Amino acid sequence: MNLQAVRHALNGLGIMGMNHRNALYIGPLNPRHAYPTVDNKRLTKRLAAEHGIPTPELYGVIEAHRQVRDLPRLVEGRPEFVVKPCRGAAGNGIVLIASHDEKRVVKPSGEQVAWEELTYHVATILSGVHSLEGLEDEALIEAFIHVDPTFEAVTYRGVPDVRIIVYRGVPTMAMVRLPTKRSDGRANLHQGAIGAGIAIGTGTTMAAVQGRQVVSHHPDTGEPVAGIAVPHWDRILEIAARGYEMTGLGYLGADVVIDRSHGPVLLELNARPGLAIQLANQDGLRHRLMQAEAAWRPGLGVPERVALARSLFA
Amino acid sequence: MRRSIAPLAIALALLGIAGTVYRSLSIGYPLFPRITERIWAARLAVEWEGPQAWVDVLLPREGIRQSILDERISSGSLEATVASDPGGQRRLRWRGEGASTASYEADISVRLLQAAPAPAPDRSPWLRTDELPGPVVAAARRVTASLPPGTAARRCFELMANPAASPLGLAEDLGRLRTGAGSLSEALVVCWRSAGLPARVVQVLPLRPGIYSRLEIFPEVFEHGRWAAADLAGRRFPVSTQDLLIWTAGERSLVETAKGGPVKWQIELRRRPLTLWTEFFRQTADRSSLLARWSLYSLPPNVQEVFRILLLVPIGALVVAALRNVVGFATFGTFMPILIAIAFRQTGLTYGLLLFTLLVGVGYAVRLSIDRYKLLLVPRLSVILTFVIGCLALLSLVAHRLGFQNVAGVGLLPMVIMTMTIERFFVVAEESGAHAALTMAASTGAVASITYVLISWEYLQLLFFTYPELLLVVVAGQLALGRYVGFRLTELWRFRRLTEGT
Repeated sequence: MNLQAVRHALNGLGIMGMNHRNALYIGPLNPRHAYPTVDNKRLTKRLAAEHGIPTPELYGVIEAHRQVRDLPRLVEGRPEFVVKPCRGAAGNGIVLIASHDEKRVVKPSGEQVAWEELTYHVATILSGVHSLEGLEDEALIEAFIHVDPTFEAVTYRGVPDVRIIVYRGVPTMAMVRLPTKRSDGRANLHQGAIGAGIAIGTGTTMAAVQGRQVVSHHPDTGEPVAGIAVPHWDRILEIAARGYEMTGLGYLGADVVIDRSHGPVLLELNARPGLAIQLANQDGLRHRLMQAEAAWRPGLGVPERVALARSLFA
Repeated sequence: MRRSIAPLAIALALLGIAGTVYRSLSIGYPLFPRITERIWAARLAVEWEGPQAWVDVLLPREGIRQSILDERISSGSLEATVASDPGGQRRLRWRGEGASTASYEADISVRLLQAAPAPAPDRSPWLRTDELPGPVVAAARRVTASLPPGTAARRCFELMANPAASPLGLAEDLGRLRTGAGSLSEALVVCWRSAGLPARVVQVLPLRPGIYSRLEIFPEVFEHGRWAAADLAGRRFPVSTQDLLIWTAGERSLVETAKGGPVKWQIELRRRPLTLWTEFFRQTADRSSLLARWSLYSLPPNVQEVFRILLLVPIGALVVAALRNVVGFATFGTFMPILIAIAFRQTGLTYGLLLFTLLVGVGYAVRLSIDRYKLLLVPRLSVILTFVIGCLALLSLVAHRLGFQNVAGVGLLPMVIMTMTIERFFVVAEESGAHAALTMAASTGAVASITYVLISWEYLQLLFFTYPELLLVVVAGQLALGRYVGFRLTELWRFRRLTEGT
């Protein structure tokens, strides 16, 4: 491998490296004080509501150990729900429940566990086992997200999510992460989920990768992953673009999931989004960020920025 | 928008270099110090039982390869006198009552380079054979008479080292010689002397830090203008005395007492790399220059030891930054590798790496086995820490039983740091898989090793200790690195596939 040639080629494609991202985008554009708004999912939810951004419906929050036994009452009449740590990272500590009765809860896989086991899990969330800093945490009880029919054929368990890189409110690059058997139903590229690039102008998926391997079909379902028109695309772009006003982060990654009945909802925002999206898109971020930067004007509203993104990155 | 860092970095670098050049020129510090000798501190402690009229110890010799810089005698209530015998062997005698322990300490400089042969001193004492019984000497004469001249030194050695191969007619005389001389070494010396070659035994210590309670004995013969030592056990002749400290010549035991009786002694050998530099500073300290008076050499010795390492830590940090941001090594924690590298200084690299691997392995096993209990973070870390320390105690015991050294240094390995590393290892293994965690552990070990080699480089230590203003140059490097926005090497690999279509 000729390093100099590779470096040259990558620069030509406008691929962005970690140092470049940290020094030129995250450092100058993301003020430190804005981080808590994205690290704490409850805070993200509240802010999102203020900005008219939908998030998964919140059934309740368990803040203290004495509230743990209220959990069954909290989900009464709601067969499906999700338990997640407020400050969790990388999807750790999230438990999906598909149904429950007085004695036990049932996971989507059909596995049945006693209520005590679930309440114990909530207690461990509170004590900070799943929050990376090990600080005390809260447990969010949220609505269950149902996979949109568009993605059913290319999803193994789990729910796909759309990741959009947003430069000062302008969506610049997008991909959808499709859970696989290898990723154990999680939409996490590190763990083996598929990343399929999305053309921002049209909202249809293009090339896809699993790890560093280009793939054209979902390995578990065998269905093609390119050419899928992402539903509610304009709304998804709008949600991502609003993340800028909401957090003040000039460089962020918005994670949006599409619920079958409620449409796109914001799952979380990320102040240090990864660079793998470039592999999924077979394209570099640097060129796109420079285009967005050149076209950006102060005072551009959300619809204008979405329109700008769709015309720039057609 | 992005202010250029170059002027600041260049200014700092120039300032550092200017300070160094000024210090070098105005005070006459050497810019490229050469280490031509090493200083060893030897401490001989003697302990005896019951009252003794006198206790004698033999003091280390001076010669072409080693010289004594400084000596200290601690006698307590005893009276100490030093006498020299005609052969140049010095003897320290403690006299008096009360104390039953005393010690002697010397800083011995050992030259690393081959010195020119010394002018011939009087070697007649090393030719005498009259201390041994007549029949033994006569036997030795008969043996050496048969040897061709010029090869006597080697032939004598071969006859002694390899008794099975003795020529037919000599077997009886050789047997008499071996049994009559007391030891094989002495027999060899007698043999050499009978052949007309000056010979002696020397009592030596290996030049390695440690505590010794026994001197090794090497026979030596004077040939072609220098002493050549023989290793009878290893059947090698001549052997190099390069890594040996010659304590005494002759067979006399190191410690003798008036009444005999049980005597315990031990010699502790330590390296003193900076002593020469301290000496050097003393020579320049009387200069009126401000920089000379404000040198790190004016600190107390134990503080100097600390700063010798501390001043290199910024270079370690620079290296870590470069390895992370330019090469793309992913390590546990930002400066964890530096802390591990400092810990390696207590244990040595091989042993340290082994320990690092072992502790992470054991810790991971513990972490894995307690994972199902979902403990809180701090108690969980405490459990791992306890197991790590327990494992270490066990390891020390086993190592001690097996006679490994270096074990004492283990305790200084920062346990808490290791515990955090284990926890990070586990989290990474959980989130990104065992492969990623192992890669990360390996690169942490690699970065720590590189840093260790760097901060252990004695020349660099001396350079930064003498010219601390060079740290400004390091800062300049760190500043420049802080603005590196190019690809990391690992990213070229990560994204390489994207270039295939073009």
